Amino acid sequence: MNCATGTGPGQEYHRDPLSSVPAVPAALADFAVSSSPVAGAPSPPRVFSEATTVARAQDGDTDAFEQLVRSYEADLFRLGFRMLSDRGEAQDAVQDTFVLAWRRLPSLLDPEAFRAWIYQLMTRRCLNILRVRVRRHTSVSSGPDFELEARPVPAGSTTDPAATAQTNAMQDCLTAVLATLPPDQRACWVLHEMHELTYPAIAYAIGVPVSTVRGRIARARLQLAKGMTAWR
Amino acid sequence: MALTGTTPTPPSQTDPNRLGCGRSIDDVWARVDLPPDPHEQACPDCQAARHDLGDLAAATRGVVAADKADPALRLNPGAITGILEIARAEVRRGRRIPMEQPRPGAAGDELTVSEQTLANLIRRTSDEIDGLEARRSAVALSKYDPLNEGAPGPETRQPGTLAAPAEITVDLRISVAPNAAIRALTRLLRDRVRTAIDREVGITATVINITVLDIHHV
Repeated sequence: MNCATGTGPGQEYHRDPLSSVPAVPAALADFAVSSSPVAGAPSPPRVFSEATTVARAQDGDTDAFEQLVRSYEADLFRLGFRMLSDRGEAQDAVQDTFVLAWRRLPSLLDPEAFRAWIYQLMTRRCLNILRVRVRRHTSVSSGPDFELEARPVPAGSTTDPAATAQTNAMQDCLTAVLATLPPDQRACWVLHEMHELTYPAIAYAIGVPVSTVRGRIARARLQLAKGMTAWR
Repeated sequence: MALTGTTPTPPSQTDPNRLGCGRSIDDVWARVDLPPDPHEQACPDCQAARHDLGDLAAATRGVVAADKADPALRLNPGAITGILEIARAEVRRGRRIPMEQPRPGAAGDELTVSEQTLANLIRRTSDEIDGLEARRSAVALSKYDPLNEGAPGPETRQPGTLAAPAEITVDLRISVAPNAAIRALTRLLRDRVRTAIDREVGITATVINITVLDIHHV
Protein backbone atom coordinates (compact mmCIF):
# COMPACT_ATOMS: atom_id res chain seq x y z
CA MET A 1 0.00 0.00 0.00
CA ASN A 2 1.42 3.30 -0.96
CA CYS A 3 0.32 6.15 1.23
CA ALA A 4 3.59 7.96 1.51
CA THR A 5 2.94 11.57 2.24
CA GLY A 6 6.08 13.03 0.86
CA THR A 7 9.61 12.93 1.96
CA GLY A 8 10.68 13.60 5.48
CA PRO A 9 13.59 15.74 6.52
CA GLY A 10 17.12 14.76 5.67
CA GLN A 11 16.10 11.48 4.16
CA GLU A 12 19.30 10.83 2.35
CA TYR A 13 21.80 8.09 2.66
CA HIS A 14 25.49 8.65 2.50
CA ARG A 15 28.07 5.98 1.85
CA ASP A 16 31.73 6.25 1.18
CA PRO A 17 32.66 4.67 -2.13
CA LEU A 18 35.23 1.93 -2.22
CA SER A 19 38.64 2.61 -3.53
CA SER A 20 39.20 -0.52 -5.61
CA VAL A 21 37.61 -0.51 -9.03
CA PRO A 22 37.97 -3.21 -11.66
CA ALA A 23 39.18 -2.17 -15.07
CA VAL A 24 36.51 -0.56 -17.21
CA PRO A 25 36.25 -1.03 -20.97
CA ALA A 26 37.23 2.18 -22.70
CA ALA A 27 33.84 2.48 -24.37
CA LEU A 28 32.16 2.58 -20.97
CA ALA A 29 34.67 4.71 -19.17
CA ASP A 30 32.45 7.79 -19.46
CA PHE A 31 30.13 6.26 -16.91
CA ALA A 32 32.80 5.33 -14.44
CA VAL A 33 33.37 8.64 -12.74
CA SER A 34 33.23 7.45 -9.18
CA SER A 35 36.89 7.32 -8.40
CA SER A 36 38.33 10.45 -6.89
CA PRO A 37 39.91 12.72 -9.49
CA VAL A 38 42.81 13.43 -7.15
CA ALA A 39 44.64 10.44 -5.74
CA GLY A 40 44.29 10.33 -1.98
CA ALA A 41 41.63 13.04 -1.83
CA PRO A 42 38.52 12.02 0.09
CA SER A 43 35.63 11.23 -2.22
CA PRO A 44 32.37 13.01 -1.52
CA PRO A 45 29.85 10.61 0.03
CA ARG A 46 27.14 9.23 -2.21
CA VAL A 47 23.69 10.54 -1.48
CA PHE A 48 20.80 8.18 -2.13
CA SER A 49 17.06 8.71 -2.39
CA GLU A 50 14.96 7.54 0.54
CA ALA A 51 13.40 4.71 -1.49
CA THR A 52 16.89 3.36 -2.19
CA THR A 53 17.91 3.71 1.44
CA VAL A 54 14.80 1.83 2.54
CA ALA A 55 15.34 -0.93 -0.04
CA ARG A 56 18.91 -1.42 1.10
CA ALA A 57 17.86 -1.56 4.75
CA GLN A 58 15.32 -4.20 3.70
CA ASP A 59 18.23 -6.22 2.35
CA GLY A 60 19.96 -6.08 5.73
CA ASP A 61 22.21 -3.03 5.14
CA THR A 62 22.68 -1.66 8.67
CA ASP A 63 24.31 1.56 7.41
CA ALA A 64 21.16 2.32 5.44
CA PHE A 65 19.03 1.49 8.47
CA GLU A 66 21.12 3.82 10.63
CA GLN A 67 20.45 6.61 8.16
CA LEU A 68 16.70 5.98 8.46
CA VAL A 69 16.93 6.00 12.26
CA ARG A 70 18.75 9.33 12.21
CA SER A 71 16.28 10.78 9.72
CA TYR A 72 13.17 9.87 11.67
CA GLU A 73 14.07 9.71 15.36
CA ALA A 74 13.25 13.36 16.08
CA ASP A 75 9.87 13.22 14.31
CA LEU A 76 8.91 10.03 16.11
CA PHE A 77 10.11 11.36 19.45
CA ARG A 78 7.96 14.49 19.06
CA LEU A 79 4.98 12.32 18.15
CA GLY A 80 5.60 10.09 21.15
CA PHE A 81 5.96 13.00 23.53
CA ARG A 82 2.70 14.63 22.40
CA MET A 83 0.92 11.28 22.62
CA LEU A 84 2.35 10.12 25.94
CA SER A 85 3.29 13.42 27.70
CA ASP A 86 6.37 11.68 29.07
CA ARG A 87 9.88 11.92 27.67
CA GLY A 88 11.09 8.60 29.05
CA GLU A 89 8.12 6.68 27.70
CA ALA A 90 8.43 8.49 24.38
CA GLN A 91 12.09 7.49 24.10
CA ASP A 92 11.30 3.86 24.90
CA ALA A 93 8.50 3.88 22.33
CA VAL A 94 10.82 5.26 19.64
CA GLN A 95 13.44 2.59 20.40
CA ASP A 96 10.85 -0.18 20.34
CA THR A 97 9.46 1.17 17.08
CA PHE A 98 12.81 1.14 15.32
CA VAL A 99 13.66 -2.36 16.51
CA LEU A 100 10.25 -3.56 15.31
CA ALA A 101 10.81 -1.71 12.02
CA TRP A 102 14.12 -3.50 11.50
CA ARG A 103 12.48 -6.87 12.05
CA ARG A 104 9.53 -6.12 9.79
CA LEU A 105 11.27 -4.15 7.06
CA PRO A 106 11.57 -7.08 4.65
CA SER A 107 7.78 -7.30 4.54
CA LEU A 108 7.28 -3.65 3.53
CA LEU A 109 6.17 -3.98 -0.07
CA ASP A 110 6.69 -0.42 -1.24
CA PRO A 111 9.79 1.43 -0.03
CA GLU A 112 8.10 4.71 -1.02
CA ALA A 113 5.57 4.07 1.77
CA PHE A 114 8.22 4.01 4.49
CA ARG A 115 7.26 7.32 6.08
CA ALA A 116 3.60 6.36 6.50
CA TRP A 117 4.67 2.89 7.65
CA ILE A 118 7.09 4.03 10.36
CA TYR A 119 4.47 6.51 11.58
CA GLN A 120 2.02 3.62 11.71
CA LEU A 121 4.36 1.53 13.89
CA MET A 122 5.02 4.45 16.25
CA THR A 123 1.39 5.58 16.50
CA ARG A 124 0.19 2.07 17.28
CA ARG A 125 2.94 1.64 19.85
CA CYS A 126 1.82 4.84 21.60
CA LEU A 127 -1.85 3.85 21.51
CA ASN A 128 -0.97 0.47 23.03
CA ILE A 129 1.01 2.13 25.82
CA LEU A 130 -1.93 4.42 26.55
CA ARG A 131 -4.33 1.45 26.66
CA VAL A 132 -2.10 -0.30 29.19
CA ARG A 133 -1.76 2.91 31.16
CA VAL A 134 -5.55 3.29 31.37
CA ARG A 135 -5.89 -0.27 32.65
CA ARG A 136 -3.19 0.31 35.26
CA HIS A 137 -4.31 3.72 36.46
CA THR A 138 -8.06 3.66 36.18
CA SER A 139 -8.43 5.49 39.46
CA VAL A 140 -5.08 7.20 39.78
CA SER A 141 -4.02 10.33 37.92
CA SER A 142 -0.67 9.41 36.42
CA GLY A 143 0.35 13.06 36.30
CA PRO A 144 1.54 13.59 32.74
CA ASP A 145 4.90 15.21 32.46
CA PHE A 146 3.72 18.55 31.01
CA GLU A 147 6.67 20.61 30.02
CA LEU A 148 5.82 24.00 31.44
CA GLU A 149 9.40 24.94 32.23
CA ALA A 150 11.41 27.35 30.12
CA ARG A 151 11.99 25.97 26.63
CA PRO A 152 14.24 27.03 23.80
CA VAL A 153 12.74 29.98 21.93
CA PRO A 154 12.53 29.16 18.23
CA ALA A 155 14.18 31.57 15.82
CA GLY A 156 11.90 34.35 14.67
CA SER A 157 9.98 34.52 17.92
CA THR A 158 9.00 37.86 19.27
CA THR A 159 11.24 39.45 21.87
CA ASP A 160 8.44 41.42 23.55
CA PRO A 161 8.26 39.88 27.08
CA ALA A 162 4.51 40.36 27.44
CA ALA A 163 3.81 38.88 24.03
CA THR A 164 6.21 36.01 24.73
CA ALA A 165 4.46 35.27 28.02
CA GLN A 166 1.10 35.30 26.24
CA THR A 167 2.42 32.99 23.51
CA ASN A 168 3.91 30.61 26.04
CA ALA A 169 0.70 30.57 28.05
CA MET A 170 -1.31 29.70 24.93
CA GLN A 171 1.07 26.90 24.10
CA ASP A 172 0.95 25.55 27.64
CA CYS A 173 -2.82 25.65 27.44
CA LEU A 174 -2.83 23.76 24.15
CA THR A 175 -0.44 21.19 25.64
CA ALA A 176 -2.69 20.69 28.65
CA VAL A 177 -5.94 20.44 26.68
CA LEU A 178 -4.35 18.15 24.09
CA ALA A 179 -3.42 15.71 26.85
CA THR A 180 -7.09 15.47 27.89
CA LEU A 181 -8.33 14.35 24.46
CA PRO A 182 -9.16 10.67 23.93
CA PRO A 183 -6.00 8.99 22.54
CA ASP A 184 -7.49 8.21 19.13
CA GLN A 185 -8.54 11.83 18.65
CA ARG A 186 -5.22 13.09 19.91
CA ALA A 187 -3.34 10.81 17.52
CA CYS A 188 -5.33 12.06 14.54
CA TRP A 189 -4.86 15.70 15.52
CA VAL A 190 -1.13 15.41 16.23
CA LEU A 191 -0.43 13.45 13.02
CA HIS A 192 -2.36 15.91 10.87
CA GLU A 193 -1.62 19.27 12.44
CA MET A 194 1.84 18.67 13.89
CA HIS A 195 3.30 16.15 11.43
CA GLU A 196 1.42 17.06 8.26
CA LEU A 197 0.28 13.54 7.48
CA THR A 198 -2.59 13.36 5.00
CA TYR A 199 -5.96 11.89 5.99
CA PRO A 200 -5.28 8.64 4.04
CA ALA A 201 -1.87 8.29 5.70
CA ILE A 202 -3.46 8.74 9.13
CA ALA A 203 -6.19 6.24 8.24
CA TYR A 204 -3.42 3.76 7.34
CA ALA A 205 -1.46 4.55 10.51
CA ILE A 206 -4.39 4.01 12.84
CA GLY A 207 -6.32 1.43 10.83
CA VAL A 208 -9.63 3.26 10.47
CA PRO A 209 -11.51 4.67 7.47
CA VAL A 210 -10.62 8.15 6.20
CA SER A 211 -14.10 9.36 7.19
CA THR A 212 -13.37 8.38 10.80
CA VAL A 213 -10.10 10.30 10.70
CA ARG A 214 -11.89 13.37 9.36
CA GLY A 215 -14.48 13.17 12.14
CA ARG A 216 -11.90 12.70 14.87
CA ILE A 217 -9.84 15.66 13.70
CA ALA A 218 -12.96 17.85 13.59
CA ARG A 219 -13.92 16.80 17.12
CA ALA A 220 -10.38 17.31 18.39
CA ARG A 221 -10.23 20.76 16.86
CA LEU A 222 -13.53 21.70 18.47
CA GLN A 223 -12.42 20.43 21.88
CA LEU A 224 -9.08 22.19 21.66
CA ALA A 225 -10.63 25.49 20.59
CA LYS A 226 -13.19 25.25 23.40
CA GLY A 227 -10.49 24.39 25.91
CA MET A 228 -8.42 27.36 24.88
CA THR A 229 -11.42 29.68 24.98
CA ALA A 230 -12.24 28.51 28.48
CA TRP A 231 -8.64 29.13 29.52
CA ARG A 232 -8.72 32.64 28.07
CA MET B 1 -18.12 29.65 23.33
CA ALA B 2 -18.13 31.14 19.88
CA LEU B 3 -17.81 27.88 18.00
CA THR B 4 -21.33 26.90 19.03
CA GLY B 5 -22.67 29.83 16.95
CA THR B 6 -24.71 32.91 17.73
CA THR B 7 -27.40 32.73 15.09
CA PRO B 8 -30.70 31.52 16.58
CA THR B 9 -32.19 28.14 15.51
CA PRO B 10 -29.54 27.22 12.97
CA PRO B 11 -30.51 24.69 10.34
CA SER B 12 -27.77 22.34 11.48
CA GLN B 13 -28.11 22.51 15.24
CA THR B 14 -27.15 18.86 15.63
CA ASP B 15 -23.92 19.09 13.63
CA PRO B 16 -21.20 20.23 15.98
CA ASN B 17 -18.89 20.82 13.04
CA ARG B 18 -21.17 23.48 11.52
CA LEU B 19 -21.61 27.07 12.64
CA GLY B 20 -24.99 28.71 13.10
CA CYS B 21 -24.58 30.49 9.76
CA GLY B 22 -24.24 27.12 8.01
CA ARG B 23 -20.50 27.22 7.30
CA SER B 24 -18.48 24.23 8.40
CA ILE B 25 -15.69 24.68 10.91
CA ASP B 26 -13.48 22.77 8.47
CA ASP B 27 -13.94 25.61 5.98
CA VAL B 28 -13.18 28.28 8.56
CA TRP B 29 -10.11 26.33 9.71
CA ALA B 30 -8.86 25.94 6.15
CA ARG B 31 -9.03 29.71 5.70
CA VAL B 32 -7.91 30.75 9.15
CA ASP B 33 -4.53 32.07 8.00
CA LEU B 34 -6.04 33.94 5.04
CA PRO B 35 -7.76 37.34 5.10
CA PRO B 36 -11.53 37.01 5.80
CA ASP B 37 -13.73 36.65 2.73
CA PRO B 38 -16.82 38.89 2.35
CA HIS B 39 -19.06 36.44 4.22
CA GLU B 40 -16.60 36.14 7.10
CA GLN B 41 -16.31 39.92 7.31
CA ALA B 42 -20.06 40.25 7.86
CA CYS B 43 -20.85 37.04 9.82
CA PRO B 44 -20.51 37.19 13.64
CA ASP B 45 -20.35 33.38 13.84
CA CYS B 46 -17.45 33.20 11.42
CA GLN B 47 -15.65 36.12 13.04
CA ALA B 48 -15.82 34.52 16.47
CA ALA B 49 -14.81 31.12 15.09
CA ARG B 50 -11.90 32.69 13.18
CA HIS B 51 -10.73 34.30 16.40
CA ASP B 52 -10.83 31.05 18.39
CA LEU B 53 -9.36 28.92 15.62
CA GLY B 54 -6.70 31.54 14.92
CA ASP B 55 -5.49 31.20 18.50
CA LEU B 56 -5.47 27.42 18.16
CA ALA B 57 -3.55 27.56 14.88
CA ALA B 58 -0.99 29.96 16.34
CA ALA B 59 -0.55 27.88 19.49
CA THR B 60 -0.15 24.73 17.38
CA ARG B 61 2.54 26.32 15.23
CA GLY B 62 4.26 27.52 18.40
CA VAL B 63 4.23 24.09 20.04
CA VAL B 64 5.57 22.44 16.88
CA ALA B 65 8.38 24.99 16.57
CA ALA B 66 9.27 24.66 20.27
CA ASP B 67 9.25 20.83 20.07
CA LYS B 68 11.50 20.88 17.00
CA ALA B 69 13.94 23.20 18.76
CA ASP B 70 13.96 21.18 21.97
CA PRO B 71 17.11 19.03 22.16
CA ALA B 72 15.50 16.93 24.88
CA LEU B 73 13.03 15.64 22.28
CA ARG B 74 15.76 13.72 20.45
CA LEU B 75 17.06 10.23 21.09
CA ASN B 76 20.29 10.36 23.04
CA PRO B 77 23.35 8.79 21.37
CA GLY B 78 23.15 5.77 23.67
CA ALA B 79 19.60 5.04 22.58
CA ILE B 80 20.58 5.18 18.91
CA THR B 81 23.56 2.93 19.60
CA GLY B 82 21.26 0.49 21.36
CA ILE B 83 18.93 0.30 18.36
CA LEU B 84 21.81 -0.24 15.93
CA GLU B 85 23.43 -2.90 18.11
CA ILE B 86 20.22 -4.90 18.08
CA ALA B 87 19.96 -4.45 14.31
CA ARG B 88 23.53 -5.63 13.74
CA ALA B 89 23.05 -8.59 16.05
CA GLU B 90 19.97 -9.59 14.10
CA VAL B 91 21.30 -9.11 10.57
CA ARG B 92 19.57 -11.56 8.33
CA ARG B 93 22.27 -13.62 6.70
CA GLY B 94 19.89 -15.14 4.22
CA ARG B 95 20.40 -18.45 2.52
CA ARG B 96 23.81 -19.99 2.16
CA ILE B 97 25.01 -20.38 -1.40
CA PRO B 98 27.47 -23.23 -2.03
CA MET B 99 30.69 -21.96 -3.52
CA GLU B 100 31.14 -25.11 -5.57
CA GLN B 101 28.69 -26.21 -8.19
CA PRO B 102 26.67 -29.01 -6.54
CA ARG B 103 26.54 -32.33 -8.33
CA PRO B 104 23.47 -34.49 -8.14
CA GLY B 105 24.04 -37.36 -5.79
CA ALA B 106 27.34 -35.99 -4.52
CA ALA B 107 27.93 -35.52 -0.85
CA GLY B 108 30.80 -34.10 1.10
CA ASP B 109 32.22 -30.98 2.66
CA GLU B 110 30.45 -27.82 1.66
CA LEU B 111 31.85 -24.33 1.55
CA THR B 112 29.16 -21.66 1.44
CA VAL B 113 28.77 -17.92 1.19
CA SER B 114 25.77 -16.14 2.68
CA GLU B 115 23.28 -14.28 0.56
CA GLN B 116 23.99 -11.26 2.80
CA THR B 117 27.70 -11.28 1.92
CA LEU B 118 26.88 -11.32 -1.77
CA ALA B 119 24.28 -8.56 -1.34
CA ASN B 120 26.87 -6.37 0.42
CA LEU B 121 29.38 -6.99 -2.33
CA ILE B 122 26.84 -6.19 -5.04
CA ARG B 123 25.90 -2.93 -3.29
CA ARG B 124 29.53 -1.89 -2.78
CA THR B 125 30.31 -2.62 -6.40
CA SER B 126 27.24 -0.77 -7.68
CA ASP B 127 28.11 2.25 -5.55
CA GLU B 128 31.23 2.71 -7.67
CA ILE B 129 29.08 3.71 -10.61
CA ASP B 130 27.50 7.12 -10.76
CA GLY B 131 24.08 7.48 -12.30
CA LEU B 132 22.48 4.51 -10.60
CA GLU B 133 21.42 3.43 -7.13
CA ALA B 134 21.39 -0.27 -6.28
CA ARG B 135 18.32 -1.32 -4.31
CA ARG B 136 17.44 -4.90 -3.42
CA SER B 137 19.17 -7.91 -4.82
CA ALA B 138 18.64 -11.66 -4.73
CA VAL B 139 20.98 -14.49 -5.62
CA ALA B 140 20.21 -18.09 -6.36
CA LEU B 141 22.21 -21.05 -7.52
CA SER B 142 21.79 -21.47 -11.27
CA LYS B 143 20.07 -24.72 -12.11
CA TYR B 144 22.36 -27.53 -13.17
CA ASP B 145 21.76 -28.23 -16.82
CA PRO B 146 22.89 -31.73 -17.87
CA LEU B 147 22.43 -30.81 -21.56
CA ASN B 148 25.00 -28.07 -21.23
CA GLU B 149 28.22 -29.66 -22.38
CA GLY B 150 30.38 -27.23 -20.48
CA ALA B 151 28.69 -27.96 -17.19
CA PRO B 152 30.69 -29.99 -14.71
CA GLY B 153 28.26 -32.85 -14.48
CA PRO B 154 28.73 -35.88 -12.25
CA GLU B 155 30.16 -37.95 -15.07
CA THR B 156 32.81 -35.46 -16.08
CA ARG B 157 34.45 -35.07 -12.68
CA GLN B 158 36.89 -37.54 -11.33
CA PRO B 159 37.35 -37.94 -7.58
CA GLY B 160 40.06 -35.69 -6.26
CA THR B 161 39.77 -33.11 -9.01
CA LEU B 162 38.90 -29.53 -8.15
CA ALA B 163 35.21 -28.74 -8.07
CA ALA B 164 33.90 -26.18 -10.51
CA PRO B 165 32.92 -22.78 -9.09
CA ALA B 166 29.26 -22.47 -8.33
CA GLU B 167 27.15 -20.69 -10.91
CA ILE B 168 24.63 -18.19 -9.64
CA THR B 169 21.89 -15.98 -10.97
CA VAL B 170 21.71 -12.43 -9.62
CA ASP B 171 18.54 -10.37 -9.68
CA LEU B 172 19.33 -6.74 -9.03
CA ARG B 173 16.93 -3.82 -8.81
CA ILE B 174 18.23 -0.36 -9.46
CA SER B 175 17.11 3.21 -9.81
CA VAL B 176 18.74 5.42 -12.41
CA ALA B 177 19.41 9.12 -12.64
CA PRO B 178 17.37 11.19 -15.07
CA ASN B 179 18.84 11.09 -18.58
CA ALA B 180 20.98 8.05 -17.73
CA ALA B 181 22.02 5.93 -20.71
CA ILE B 182 20.38 2.82 -19.34
CA ARG B 183 21.78 0.24 -21.76
CA ALA B 184 25.36 1.31 -21.35
CA LEU B 185 24.97 1.79 -17.62
CA THR B 186 23.51 -1.68 -17.06
CA ARG B 187 26.19 -3.23 -19.28
CA LEU B 188 28.83 -1.62 -17.09
CA LEU B 189 27.03 -2.70 -13.94
CA ARG B 190 26.83 -6.34 -15.12
CA ASP B 191 30.49 -6.33 -15.96
CA ARG B 192 31.51 -4.87 -12.60
CA VAL B 193 29.27 -7.15 -10.54
CA ARG B 194 30.35 -10.26 -12.44
CA THR B 195 34.02 -9.34 -12.01
CA ALA B 196 33.67 -8.52 -8.30
CA ILE B 197 31.84 -11.77 -7.50
CA ASP B 198 34.41 -13.79 -9.39
CA ARG B 199 37.37 -11.98 -7.82
CA GLU B 200 36.17 -11.63 -4.22
CA VAL B 201 34.08 -14.76 -3.76
CA GLY B 202 35.29 -17.08 -6.48
CA ILE B 203 31.96 -18.04 -7.94
CA THR B 204 30.48 -17.29 -11.32
CA ALA B 205 27.51 -15.05 -11.93
CA THR B 206 26.26 -16.57 -15.13
CA VAL B 207 23.08 -14.49 -15.27
CA ILE B 208 22.64 -10.97 -13.91
CA ASN B 209 19.09 -9.75 -14.32
CA ILE B 210 18.76 -6.02 -13.80
CA THR B 211 15.42 -4.31 -13.26
CA VAL B 212 15.24 -0.53 -13.51
CA LEU B 213 12.59 0.28 -10.93
CA ASP B 214 12.68 4.02 -10.78
CA ILE B 215 14.25 7.26 -11.83
CA HIS B 216 15.58 9.05 -8.81
CA HIS B 217 16.08 12.74 -8.22
CA VAL B 218 18.74 13.49 -5.64
